[in-house]
Amino acid sequence: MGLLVINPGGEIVTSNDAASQILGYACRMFEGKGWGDLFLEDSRNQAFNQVILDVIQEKKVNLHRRVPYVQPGGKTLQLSITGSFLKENEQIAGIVLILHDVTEIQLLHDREKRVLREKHRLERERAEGLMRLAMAIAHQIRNPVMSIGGFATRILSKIDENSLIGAYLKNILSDAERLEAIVKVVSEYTRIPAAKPVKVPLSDIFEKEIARLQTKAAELSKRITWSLELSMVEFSVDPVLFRRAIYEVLLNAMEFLESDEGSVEIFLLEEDNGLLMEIIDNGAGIAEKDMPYVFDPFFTTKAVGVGMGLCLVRRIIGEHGGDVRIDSEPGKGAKVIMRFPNEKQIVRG
Amino acid sequence: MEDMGIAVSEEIDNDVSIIELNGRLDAGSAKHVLAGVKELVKRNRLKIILDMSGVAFIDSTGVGILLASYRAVDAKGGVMKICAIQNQVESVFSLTRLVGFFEIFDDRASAVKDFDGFHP
Repeated sequence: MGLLVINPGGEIVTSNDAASQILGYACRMFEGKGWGDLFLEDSRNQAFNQVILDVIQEKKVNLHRRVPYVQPGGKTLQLSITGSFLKENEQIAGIVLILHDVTEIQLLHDREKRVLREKHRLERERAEGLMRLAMAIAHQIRNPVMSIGGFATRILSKIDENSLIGAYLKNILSDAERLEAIVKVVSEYTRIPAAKPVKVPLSDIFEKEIARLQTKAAELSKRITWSLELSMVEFSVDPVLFRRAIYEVLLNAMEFLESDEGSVEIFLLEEDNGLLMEIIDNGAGIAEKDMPYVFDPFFTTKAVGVGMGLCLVRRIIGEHGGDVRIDSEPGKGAKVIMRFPNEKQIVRG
Repeated sequence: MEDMGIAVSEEIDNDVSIIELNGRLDAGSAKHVLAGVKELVKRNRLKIILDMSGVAFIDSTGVGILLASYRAVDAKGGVMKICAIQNQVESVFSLTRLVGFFEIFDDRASAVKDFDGFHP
């Protein structure tokens, strides 16, 4: 940690070896000199000089900034500077500056940002590829399936439906309906619009979705205990997409209960950078071998289902600049962890 | 010449050129000051006063430009003096020890008078 103390006359009266080392001067070179003698003429160090000028002009205490600094030898560092304007009996007593060389930390931070940006780029590419595939499926399969189903129905109406051919036709119809269901879900995936976030009341949204699922649970004779804990009242999300995503996650939690009873806990926590949501169930969990594929399209372990649910959830959260992952202990349940960044922090590679 | 709150007027009597600065002396306006000073130097007007009575804020670019202007005049054997700085800017000058670098006067008249007998 470098330290510089400047007296009211502008003279640097105290400095330590770390300050000399950070600023690229020989030890004790500063003492007796002023800021103007040493730094102000170097146009490369304007941000660095601005710190002391702001401390003086705005009489700041603990003004903290991270700025680049070019040493006399030409090496550029990233400095973290804290400057304070000292007063005694309303008179200027001087200035204290504390310097830290944070070049390495900054490099690490930049590297992390690059990796994150690259990760987002790859995810976007993957999502775009999937989107093209989904659009092709929706477009190319819809019409043939409709015609297969339509003709099968017409033939069935002209023959004895209890005959052997009638049974075959019923099989054709049932599979055509299944294909139509796939086309419908895939079309829905391709129609997800860009998120238009507005502030929404979180508990209200969750309570409505839980009520929807409660009706479904009753139809399936399942008894579920829902609990909702939240430390955040409002958050900016696209209300339609957000509801769609949480419905899918809650539906999954419900469908994977091992028996007819179970619990689903929902936690909404405020984080520095946004919203953290955790949805925890005590159902069957996810087998380790399935884990890498749970977000893939058409992946399902359910007897009935297209396998687009979590894929849709990931797409929606991605539209909000967030991410989703799942932890699970097979046989004990699953935890879906979703993070939504604040709007201004959304990284769009 | 008038530009970005900067006015250059010339006191013919004592052969002194005065640049009057108004507003913030920052990255946006400072380059006009240097251009104004360099133009005077080009015309061999080497007795220059910067009247800073209208400047309430200066940033690091502004300070750098004042130093560069001083050097430009000095290189041709001229002198640039500063007058009428406001309290906040004066704090900057004293706490960075620029008061020892520039010749600073309370008002325009005393700065002009200080050029008596000076022939670049």
